[in-house]
Amino acid sequence: MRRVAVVGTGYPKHKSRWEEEGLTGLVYLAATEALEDAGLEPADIEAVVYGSSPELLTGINHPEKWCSEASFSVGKPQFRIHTGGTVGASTGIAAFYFVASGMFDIVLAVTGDKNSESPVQYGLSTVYDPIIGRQFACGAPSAVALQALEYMYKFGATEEHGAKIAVKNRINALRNPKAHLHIEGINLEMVRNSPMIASPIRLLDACPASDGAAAMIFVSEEVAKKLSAPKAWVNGVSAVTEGVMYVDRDMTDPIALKKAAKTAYTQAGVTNPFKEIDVAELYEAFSYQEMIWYEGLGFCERGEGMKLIDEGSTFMKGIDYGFETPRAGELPVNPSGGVLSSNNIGSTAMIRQIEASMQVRDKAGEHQVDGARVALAHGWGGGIQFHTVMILGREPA
Amino acid sequence: MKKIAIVGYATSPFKPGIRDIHLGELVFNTVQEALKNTGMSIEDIETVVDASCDIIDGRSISNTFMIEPMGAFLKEEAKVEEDGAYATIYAYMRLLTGKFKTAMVVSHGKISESSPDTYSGTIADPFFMRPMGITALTSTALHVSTYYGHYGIDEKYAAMVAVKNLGNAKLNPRAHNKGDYTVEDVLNSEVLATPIKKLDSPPVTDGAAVIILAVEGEAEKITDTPVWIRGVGFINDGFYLGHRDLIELPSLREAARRAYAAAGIKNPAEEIDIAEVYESYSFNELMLYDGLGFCEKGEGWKLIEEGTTCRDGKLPVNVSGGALGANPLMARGLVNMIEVATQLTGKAGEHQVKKDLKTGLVHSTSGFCFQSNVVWILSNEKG
Amino acid sequence: MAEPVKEIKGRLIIPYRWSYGRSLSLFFEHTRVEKKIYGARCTKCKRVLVPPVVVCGRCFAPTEEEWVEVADRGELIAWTTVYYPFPGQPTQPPYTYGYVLLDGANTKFPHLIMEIEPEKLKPGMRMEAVWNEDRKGDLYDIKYFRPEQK
Ligand SMILES: [Zn+2]
Repeated sequence: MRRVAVVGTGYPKHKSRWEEEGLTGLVYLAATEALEDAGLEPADIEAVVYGSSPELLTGINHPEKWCSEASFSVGKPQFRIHTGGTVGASTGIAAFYFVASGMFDIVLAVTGDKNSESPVQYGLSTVYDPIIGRQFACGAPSAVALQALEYMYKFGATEEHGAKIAVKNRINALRNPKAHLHIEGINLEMVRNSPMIASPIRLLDACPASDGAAAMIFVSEEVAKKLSAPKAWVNGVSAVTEGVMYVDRDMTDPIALKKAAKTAYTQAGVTNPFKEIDVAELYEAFSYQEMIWYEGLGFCERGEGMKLIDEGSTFMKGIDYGFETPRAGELPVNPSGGVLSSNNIGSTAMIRQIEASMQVRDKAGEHQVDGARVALAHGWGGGIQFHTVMILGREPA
Repeated sequence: MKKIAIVGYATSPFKPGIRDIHLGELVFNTVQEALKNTGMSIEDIETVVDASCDIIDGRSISNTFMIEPMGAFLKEEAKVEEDGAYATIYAYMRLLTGKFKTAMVVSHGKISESSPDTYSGTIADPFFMRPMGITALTSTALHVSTYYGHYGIDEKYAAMVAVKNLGNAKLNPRAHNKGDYTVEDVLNSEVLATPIKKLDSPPVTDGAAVIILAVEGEAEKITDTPVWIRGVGFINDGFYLGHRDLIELPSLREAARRAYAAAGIKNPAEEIDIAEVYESYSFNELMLYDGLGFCEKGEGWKLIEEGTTCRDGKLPVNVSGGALGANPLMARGLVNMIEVATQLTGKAGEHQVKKDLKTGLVHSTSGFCFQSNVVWILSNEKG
Repeated sequence: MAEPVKEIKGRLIIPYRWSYGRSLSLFFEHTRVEKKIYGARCTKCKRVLVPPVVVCGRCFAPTEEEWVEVADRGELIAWTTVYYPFPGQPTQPPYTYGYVLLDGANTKFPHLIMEIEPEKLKPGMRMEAVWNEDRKGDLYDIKYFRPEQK
């Protein structure tokens, strides 16, 4: 298979309401930033993959058509990927395949959404089965609440673990100027006192609804060698799905994630993920999920995700979180602030890939993990069933 | 580049409304049928790419509940929110990497659960097009007025396309909208949006379609009659109709040019033996002849007048009856692929074209007035 | 110059009619007429799916050949109390819903949970269906689940 590298990324600052830009404008901002980062011109792009959230959220069908000009895809091959929350990652992965297939050498992957333009949880409630389930849906929070509760009862995780993750990622976000939420003084007390939205999930255990966009440039090895921009090599890629209503489903055991991780690790030559991965960007739309994903990704044994929180292994070194984190820096997770700090849905899983590639390209600025050589990006979507894993490396595998 | 073949396929029945079958069951039945036709089991499928639309399904992330029926459980899977002929591009690229040996493409649409006008009307942007009520029908009417006006083409030629396609559909069990009509019948049918009339227009169709692809080496083991992909091109155009060249149709022309280049086709009118194009409305088919290079610019009408594109003509187009015969949104592109594959392997039964076939063209489109186009070249020879 | 206009308001109203298909038609016929819950047994792994779907995801095998009555009671697996309001919400918060593993079934059944304070819910708690008197052949043939009455 051809080697593929990420040579440019961009995403505008996320916020509650981008008044001065519509969807097309945000997509344009992201695409131009990624091109600039790569040192490329719009004319260099050979093909475009577009991704965004469910159209019942945005009210726009085929948004990739509307965004043709903004995504530099007039006169070029283009289509839209749509896999719910995973979509940003699925779009990046599709761009990887565009290049790896040998059909194209320079491909733009671009995603965007304006969650401010509709009631997001109404839209997300239409993911539920219309015949059995939609009647009492409360968007993403209610689905994940059931998962979180099951995890708490099964393994003894507490609200404290959720709160610590919520604080970790929000404090990390203070070092990421592009994150939507910058909550000065965030602490456990604030999380505990925030209103319950769907028990056990409190407002501060949940991601915000953001306006935003994101873009990445994927190129072949041949092109990569000619560019001066630092590279993030795509060393492992997998997107695996499980079902929704299958027998003996255990929401605390993400079987699709396990399989995707295994596939990506094999490709990238990772044998001990906790030791070999230097930094990870996970899709923790709600705080509790981060622990479940640690387990699915093999960072620890099943039921031990909370240990990594207790011991502080996934916290950034040298940051005071207001509680003890003795093993901080072992495997920092979500230095960008994660999904808990920005979520426009369409771009969110792509931003995991962007942030992971920024880390191995030494471009993460204030939230850089020193010397990161191997980074992992994760996404989930649908009925908590689609999982994507991408391993990015400073060197090709 | 690796050679990839279509090794299996199936479609559901196509009807104006499949009211008694749940969407999941429709998909499950069709996937099972495709596997059965191919002698494969679900374990033999390494990756699944699906094509469906949230707005049509009334289910956001429309593949959420389709994973089990598609047999994608614990497989590498992705959804392309486009017609199935686009999802096939993604499956094709996945196979080209060598990471997978087999891939299944699944497309479905039960448009009777909502409505075709909702599907196309929501593609319109909220600022300029929605206030005007732009839909597939009204945008096509504007397009026809532009293109037919520019070349001075009489609407009777579009009526002749309708007569051809509705007549072809009679022999095709996969078509449900069919009949013996005259040009006068078409011209005298109810006007929907000038100059488009009822008999120029596609029916409402529910259905699903599935194809299975395999790489060279595997394909020959699965079937004695693989249909080889010889080339593909797909190109997008700008969004606003007023910004686009609706006469030259650059995205269609360039998609075709790339597919021809990949397949080594120099003179499409001579080298292509059969074509299935996504015409949607009869008027569009003449523009497609033009954009695909089957004729000189603006001279599509000659092909229908001379009978070139009729079923016994030199280059039969839409012997299936086309979208006028059955228009399952999201699945029509795969239906076109399946029709051409069936014809190229001599398996089309009653509507088999009675001549030697070697090279077939498949076209599909997405957006208003052919904004985006995909062109596939298929052959019964590996090349 | 006055403040420029920055947005336009709109609304998307799309009527749908979602087909039940044979298995859900039959399922809701049993709930409507008999106040009974039926599942479909996978023809391969023999486990029972409620609500019935035509295919067992793990096995990619059809389920419909064998219909099995399951209990209208079972164990509470997980639940949430929803407080978050949004426009167009089908049920007005606060309300509690969760998954009940019905006796005889291998998939969890979602429904509202009432007649108990949420703080008193425990995993594994026995729950039972409360049937609606006015049944129309939809999910609300069962009004909600409540703790099993001894
Ligand atoms: Zn089974």
